[in-house]
Amino acid sequence: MKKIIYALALVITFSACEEKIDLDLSFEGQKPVIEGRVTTETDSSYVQLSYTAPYNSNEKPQAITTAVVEMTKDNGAAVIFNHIANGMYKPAAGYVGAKNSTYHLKVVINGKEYTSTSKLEPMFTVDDSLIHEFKPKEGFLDEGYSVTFWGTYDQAPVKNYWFKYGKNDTLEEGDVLFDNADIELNKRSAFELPFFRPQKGDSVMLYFRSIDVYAYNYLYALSMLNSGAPGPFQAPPANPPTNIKGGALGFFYAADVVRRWKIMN
Amino acid sequence: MLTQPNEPILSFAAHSNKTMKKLLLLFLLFCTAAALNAQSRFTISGTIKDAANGEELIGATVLADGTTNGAASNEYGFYSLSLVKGKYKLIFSYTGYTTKTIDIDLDANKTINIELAENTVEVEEVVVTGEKADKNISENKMSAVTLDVKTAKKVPLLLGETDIIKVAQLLPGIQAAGDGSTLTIVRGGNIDHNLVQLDEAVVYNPSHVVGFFSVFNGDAIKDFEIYKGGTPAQFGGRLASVMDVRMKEGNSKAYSVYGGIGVLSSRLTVEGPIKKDQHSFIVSARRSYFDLFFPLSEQTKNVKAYFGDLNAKVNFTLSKKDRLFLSFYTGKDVLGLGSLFGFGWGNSTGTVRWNRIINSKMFMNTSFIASRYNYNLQFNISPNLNLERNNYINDLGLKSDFTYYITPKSTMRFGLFNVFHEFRPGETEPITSTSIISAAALPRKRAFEQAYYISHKTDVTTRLNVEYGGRLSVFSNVGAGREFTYSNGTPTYVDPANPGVRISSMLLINDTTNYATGDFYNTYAGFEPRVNAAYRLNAVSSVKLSYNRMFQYLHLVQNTTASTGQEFWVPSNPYIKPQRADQVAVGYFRNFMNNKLEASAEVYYKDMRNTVEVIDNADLDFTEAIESQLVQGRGRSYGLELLVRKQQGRLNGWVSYTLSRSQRKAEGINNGEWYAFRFDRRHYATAVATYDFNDRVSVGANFVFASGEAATVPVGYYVVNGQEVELYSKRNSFRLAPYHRLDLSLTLNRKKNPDKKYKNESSWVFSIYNVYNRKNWFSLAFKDDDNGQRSVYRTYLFGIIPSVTYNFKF
Repeated sequence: MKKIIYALALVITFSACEEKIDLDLSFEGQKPVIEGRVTTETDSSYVQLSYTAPYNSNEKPQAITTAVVEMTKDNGAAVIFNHIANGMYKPAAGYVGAKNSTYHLKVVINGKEYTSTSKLEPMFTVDDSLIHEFKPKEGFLDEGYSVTFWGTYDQAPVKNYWFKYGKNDTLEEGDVLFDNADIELNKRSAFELPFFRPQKGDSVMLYFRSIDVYAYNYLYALSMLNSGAPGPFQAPPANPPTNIKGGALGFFYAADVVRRWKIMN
Repeated sequence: MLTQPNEPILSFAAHSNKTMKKLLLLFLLFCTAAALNAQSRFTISGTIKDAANGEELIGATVLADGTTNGAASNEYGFYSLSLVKGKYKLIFSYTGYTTKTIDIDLDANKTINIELAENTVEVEEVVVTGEKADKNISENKMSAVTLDVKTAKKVPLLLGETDIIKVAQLLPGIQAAGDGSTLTIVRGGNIDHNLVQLDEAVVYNPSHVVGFFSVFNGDAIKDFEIYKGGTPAQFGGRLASVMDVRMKEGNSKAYSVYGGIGVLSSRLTVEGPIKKDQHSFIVSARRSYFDLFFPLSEQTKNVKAYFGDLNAKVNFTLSKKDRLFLSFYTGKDVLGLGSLFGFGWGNSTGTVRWNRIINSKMFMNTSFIASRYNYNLQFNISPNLNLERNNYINDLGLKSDFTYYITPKSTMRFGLFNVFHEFRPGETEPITSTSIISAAALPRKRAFEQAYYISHKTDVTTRLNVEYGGRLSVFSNVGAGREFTYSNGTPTYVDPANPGVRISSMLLINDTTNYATGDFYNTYAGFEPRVNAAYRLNAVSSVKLSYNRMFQYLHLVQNTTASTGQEFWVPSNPYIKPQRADQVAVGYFRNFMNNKLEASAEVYYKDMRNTVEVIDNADLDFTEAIESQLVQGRGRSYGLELLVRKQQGRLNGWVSYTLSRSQRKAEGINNGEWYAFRFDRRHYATAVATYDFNDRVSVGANFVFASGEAATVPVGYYVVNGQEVELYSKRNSFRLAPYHRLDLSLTLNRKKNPDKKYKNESSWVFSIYNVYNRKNWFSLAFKDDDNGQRSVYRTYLFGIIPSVTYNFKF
């Protein structure tokens, strides 16, 4: 839980003056970027391949379309992910991830091999129904509905979760990352969505994913890199700690996915 | 960070007993020589004080006219001068004070307590007579500067706050860590390489308001001395500098109340005698009130931000030979946003100091010292998600220091300093019972730090004087506590699949060793040689040389640029080795215009080992295995420092220039290659001037120029998780734009009426910070502009800032 709290604190605390400037930033050549996932939702697994691009240019990152992509579950047979379009690789229809399995990704780009591994951890139990309650304007929060979910943290610590929420099919910006290190095992707890006030008639969506610690660390570093923390609170910038071996950027994760919806009435 | 628990940190340590024996032998030799001389010599000793308020004067001199024999008062105002029987004219002097001359017939040991009166500005030029007016060339002390608060008060500063640390940052080799910051970089060292102490107690976080103000209230401070090299043996524990701040003792002559009302803060001080000329007290308080303005704006109405501090001190003259001082400081910072979240920090220190004149040649100071630093964080997003976290460092120490004035040309100093540290690195509590956060605490850590030192200052010839000595420092981790074992044997490692990237081994902890209460389970020891020498070339110039080795056993772990109050100190442990620095400096010192103008040129080279760096993407918050987020490496810094300073007359100030370089190197950062330290600045130039037109009007100006700091910038971008992400290359490979600014001040003093019984004084101080509104880069931000284009933004903190302060005294 600590990471989300700390990140939010930095953003809100302090404002400094900013001014846009022109800066000559040199580009050091293309590097491959791999983003891969296996989830428990059918046909949602994919691998996206692209190259890095110069920071100052308007050009989009170039897609990698000729790679060989394989996914292996535990010690099973490799499943080929085929190129669909724009660097997106997908397995044959009907592919679904299995809880407590370990997935091995292998990508070969121009003869060079990149690999990664991720364990698909189960999600904690989330109640089917969401609680919502109308609240007046509070501080900088407009009036609207507060939304609360109940969950039972029934996984032995430390497990990591990646949580997003939104309304009307649009997810809020930013990722909520938390672990269960500070949460009592098997405790059934309520959690009110922070800084969120949907209005009457809005359809609210919650999107939970269990992820392993490597993906968690990658996403946390990514959120800090893009936290918008002003000058004095910036951490030394660094590339997020990828779990892909071989020199590529990006990350690979396996996730158990749970979704919940509710219309505010 | 490969290390061997209990491994001696330097080979010298193994031979330290032998070295100590040699030093003891030297000591006995000098004592014997002194005893042989004793029959024909007598000693004059006493204290030198300010006639106006009874405050001891540090560094005041006494000289036997017509001889080369003299002495200077120590940091407690005590002096001792041994002379052959005879008649003498003694000249007591102190810069800015009227010289006093006394004729004596020395036929026995004598106690002479002297009070010197401050010169007023009407005296056109204060001419300090006597040889010691040129002590900057005659003494072997180098790389050190003493500042008095009176000088600091005339220098224009941010928001008109008198801040002695910011004045020090205008000296060569001493730089601010960012615009307006009191956090200080000394000769390329880290922020935590500075030992900041107030009346001998360590102040772990010397800043208020994320670093923009120091904790030192100018009204409560008497004296400030900074050593950036050539550090005397009585100081240790940090690599780069010692900032020795001393509080006023309190006016022992008369009661006075004074203070100031500024734009954002005010202060009030009361001092006076408890018993005239014997016991006195001082209480000084300060509080900011910018939080009062926040409710005026819709945007800031929920913001909380204030600081306050309190200094108090009493001193008692117990007998002709004994004095007791009790000093206390506490300060607090609070920042936050309504009840949503907040954070804060505070320092508290207490010192009980006992001065004893054992005899006319031997002075002792023993201090019991306590220091506490705490910082906290509260978060209250909702009834289900809230917490409060507190962290503490508690120190309890004993320091005993002896000065033996063997002859006028030979002084021995020795003593010890033992301190017990307790670290409480994180204690979390839910704010409400409905919070899903459960109470948790990281285990406390304890350590015992000891130091034993001896030094000898002697005039080898009429031209050469030398101070040499050493310090044996010992640091032990003490139970109850626990340490982790990593299955790969190291808390961090370079990823073989991604060379050049250092990875935490936190996931590889496979065992824990618990230690019982009182167990000394890991010990480091090191000997720190110290040498200062001055060779006088002629009446107006000298060359000086210094060498010092310093060990640092406590390390600040910080992942942001400013002081957020959330950075924390960690002790050395079986994995985190002590940091070590060896510094050598050579200087040429020359005075002009009958010592009114002092000039110096110093070059230095500092080699640092086991410097502590945070690994990329470190997870520092509430992490017990903190060694798994750090890497230790090397550092080096070198440079040239030029200074011309004038401290007398109506026009005071200095001009300085520093040419320097500071680098770091650590496996897993920048592929193990040397890279620029974050605050490496090639050029740093300052000019400070104050001019007193008369006793009512004075002006001040300062100008600073600094080369741009090092920064890390992206070399490309890519898309992942649906967002554009910067691709970073080498750490600190880019340079920010140069920094410069001009500040001005005008001080208007109320006309004095000498006929009035109550001589009320008041003044208005008008100042402008950053007169020409330079938007100095603080850092860079990389994000989309309003059109969704990837862009670069510079962050700047302060534009032009005018301020006014009203000071009063009655």
